[in-house]
Amino acid sequence: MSRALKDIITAYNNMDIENLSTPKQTTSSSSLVTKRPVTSSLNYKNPAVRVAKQMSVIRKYRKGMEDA
Amino acid sequence: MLNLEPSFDAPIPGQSLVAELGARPWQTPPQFKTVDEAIEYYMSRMTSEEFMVQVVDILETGVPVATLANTIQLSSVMEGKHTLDIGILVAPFLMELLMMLGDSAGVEYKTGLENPDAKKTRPTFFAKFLKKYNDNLASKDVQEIIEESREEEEEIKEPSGLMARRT
Repeated sequence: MSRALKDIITAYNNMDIENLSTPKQTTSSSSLVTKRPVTSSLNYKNPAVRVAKQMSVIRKYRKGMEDA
Repeated sequence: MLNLEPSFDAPIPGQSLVAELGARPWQTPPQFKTVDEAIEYYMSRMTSEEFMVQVVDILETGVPVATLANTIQLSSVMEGKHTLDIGILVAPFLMELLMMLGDSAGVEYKTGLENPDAKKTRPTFFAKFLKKYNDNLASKDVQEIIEESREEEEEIKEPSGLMARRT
């Protein structure tokens, strides 16, 4: 097994795309100055995150095909 | 049959090093500089009918998805489409895409995600066993062990001969 292939398999296994979508965090505060709701903690500047997002779309489609 | 004549139909050693710098596609700036551009390129290329038919054929022959994804990204690196770094980053996406193509065609494919070394005996296991054995041997008197085993053998010895009772 080549080095690149091992790295690819590791990269695939480490793509934790099931837990990628984080729920919206709403902040309830009684004060006048409230924090803006944080939509996502993901750093979309990270190329790995962008790849994972694309992967999650395809995986959802695959699961949909399996269920149908 | 042994071919005694030398074959000259092979690259000269060091041939790959004599090409002018920048003459090879992978030595020039890549065509797709970001992951998004590379994904877009692969999406348009891999969803074409011609490519899909080829991929399904390859998957049916038993080539693992990981190997196929690696080959696709490496060939793109060689063509100067993107860098090796982007290839490694995009490879999991390619695997997912290939699996989707396989699923849609109803092919039973190999993922290639299984660790081939998982069932192999590790060399460290032998080293550990050997060390334990040596430690055990050093702690015991060898002569004593030989005598013990002789005594055991004598005890176990069963009557032999034609008239011996079978157990």
